[in-house]
Amino acid sequence: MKRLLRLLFALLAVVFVPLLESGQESGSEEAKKKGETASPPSELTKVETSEERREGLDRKLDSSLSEFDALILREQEILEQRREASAAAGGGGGAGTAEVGGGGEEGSEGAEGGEGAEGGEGAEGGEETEASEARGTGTSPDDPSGEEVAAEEGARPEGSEAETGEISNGRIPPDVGDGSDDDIVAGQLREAAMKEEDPELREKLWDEYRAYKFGEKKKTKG
Amino acid sequence: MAKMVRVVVLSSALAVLSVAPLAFALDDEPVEALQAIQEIPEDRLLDVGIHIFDAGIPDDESKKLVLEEKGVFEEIRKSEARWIPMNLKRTLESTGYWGAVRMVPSATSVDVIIDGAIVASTGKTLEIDVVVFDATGRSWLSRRYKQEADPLAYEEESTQEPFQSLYNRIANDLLKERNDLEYEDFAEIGRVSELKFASDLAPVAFQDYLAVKKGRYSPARLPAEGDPMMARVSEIRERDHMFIDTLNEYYADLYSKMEVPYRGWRSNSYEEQLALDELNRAAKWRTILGAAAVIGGVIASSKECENRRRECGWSNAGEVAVLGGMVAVMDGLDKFAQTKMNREALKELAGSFDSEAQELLFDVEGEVLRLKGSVETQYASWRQILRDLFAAETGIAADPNKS
Repeated sequence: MKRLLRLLFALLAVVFVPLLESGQESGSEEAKKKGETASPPSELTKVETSEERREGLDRKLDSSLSEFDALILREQEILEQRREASAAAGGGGGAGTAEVGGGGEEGSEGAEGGEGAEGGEGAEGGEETEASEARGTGTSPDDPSGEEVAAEEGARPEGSEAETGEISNGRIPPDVGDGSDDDIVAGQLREAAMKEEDPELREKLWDEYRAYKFGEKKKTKG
Repeated sequence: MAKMVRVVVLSSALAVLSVAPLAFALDDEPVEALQAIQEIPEDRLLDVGIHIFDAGIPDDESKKLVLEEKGVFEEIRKSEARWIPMNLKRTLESTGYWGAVRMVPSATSVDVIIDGAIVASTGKTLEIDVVVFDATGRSWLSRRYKQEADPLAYEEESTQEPFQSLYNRIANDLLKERNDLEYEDFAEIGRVSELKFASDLAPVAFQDYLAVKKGRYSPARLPAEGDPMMARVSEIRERDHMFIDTLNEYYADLYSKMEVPYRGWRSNSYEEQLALDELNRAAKWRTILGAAAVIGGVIASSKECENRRRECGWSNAGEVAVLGGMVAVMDGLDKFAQTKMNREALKELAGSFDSEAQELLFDVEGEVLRLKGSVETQYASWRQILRDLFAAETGIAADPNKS
């Protein structure tokens, strides 16, 4: 009898187990498909997915914008260096010196040939003004606290840069860590700040780095 | 007595040939740019974008060589294609009637766009075509401007732009068009310009916001107050302005470096061109009047012989005129030969400045290209993020083939 029962169970197992497995597989495939088309599928991630995804993307956009700001700051620095170089070379330097607004020209035709089809109008008033150059994004004054922190070496947290000796010349503020957990954006900001020669600009880049990195951490914790 | 009169008349005609040729220039009154006498309210300030001008140089190498023979060099023209918009930008800024005036890449969405092409540019004459339209597609003007240089601007202590009147005329013409706009036009231009930028950056989210009819854009609908997608686009547009401002600083750098050598070249070119024009005129008039004197002399001489039935000798006035006329014709031909030398001198001047301009242009354009490259990568990334955000917020997956 026992043997008969065992045989019966074995038979049932042979018939139904594959059926059950295939049923599970097809079910999970359906779930996968659903997940691909409509974002929130089921389970624990259901509430988080849509909102978190949006937040994650917004964060990504913010960091990309910060990266762009850092890029523009670097360009400003390059431009400044170019201006300094040309001033030192004694060439050019005339940007903004050309006078505008004044007339004084005489239009002529005749021997030159050609024709003008201009429709200029008479003018009134107007005096010569110095042209001023449109400046782009200027550097804005920022929090200089980083320098103070850098000066306080005693308050420095432990980190690998402690051994590098770079902190002593103020290039890496002690509160920014060793960068081992940096993602791509933070890494770029950190690298830019480390390479930066101008202390003011360097501090701004570190500020960007802090804002990005610690903002990131807060958000991931939250 | 009659003979004496004829001698006096013909002598006078010959005397005319020896004096300086007549000036044919018709003077225009100098034009000044109209200035705003009070601050313009912000909602009536339109931003202006100026494209780099068409340098007017063909791609064909053989055609380039033909132009070089005429003293038109590629690198000079390319530099001028940036110099002229920069001057226009400065002129418009100085009037106080406009918002931000920037030199912009061609695809940028701005309230008012100025496009142009150089027709002729020497130290003496500047001739350009200018086309202006706004973001809605409304044409403002399409005109050719020509100006003779102000000689005073070439004096050593002067910092005046020799063709400033041309820029002032364009500024005044633009102002006239602006003043013709209705109040609601200003708002519409601003909205369309913003929506164009948005739909270029996130077409999936903003493609339905603009209507196009017969090439004219108008807002089909407006984003809701505080629309998060529009807020993101505004953030990006702010960066776009930062990028363009930085580009403009590079062009200002080019302008600054070009200023001294370009002024030098234009000033020399002006002198040479002036001399060339004078020679041309003198040669032309000497030849024409000389020929006329020869003809007149022959006629006078033959009539005198016929009427008086006396023997005709070299002593009469007709023959004097013929001789004088021939001398004048020869002199005219000689002057024509001299103009060739002046043309060569002009070509040499241009060729020498061309190499200098090439160096300056290469330096700045290298930086501009590098910057544009970095920024394009950023834009691609922003487009992707906005597309993903739109999908996350609406559940509508964007077609990845449509940027």
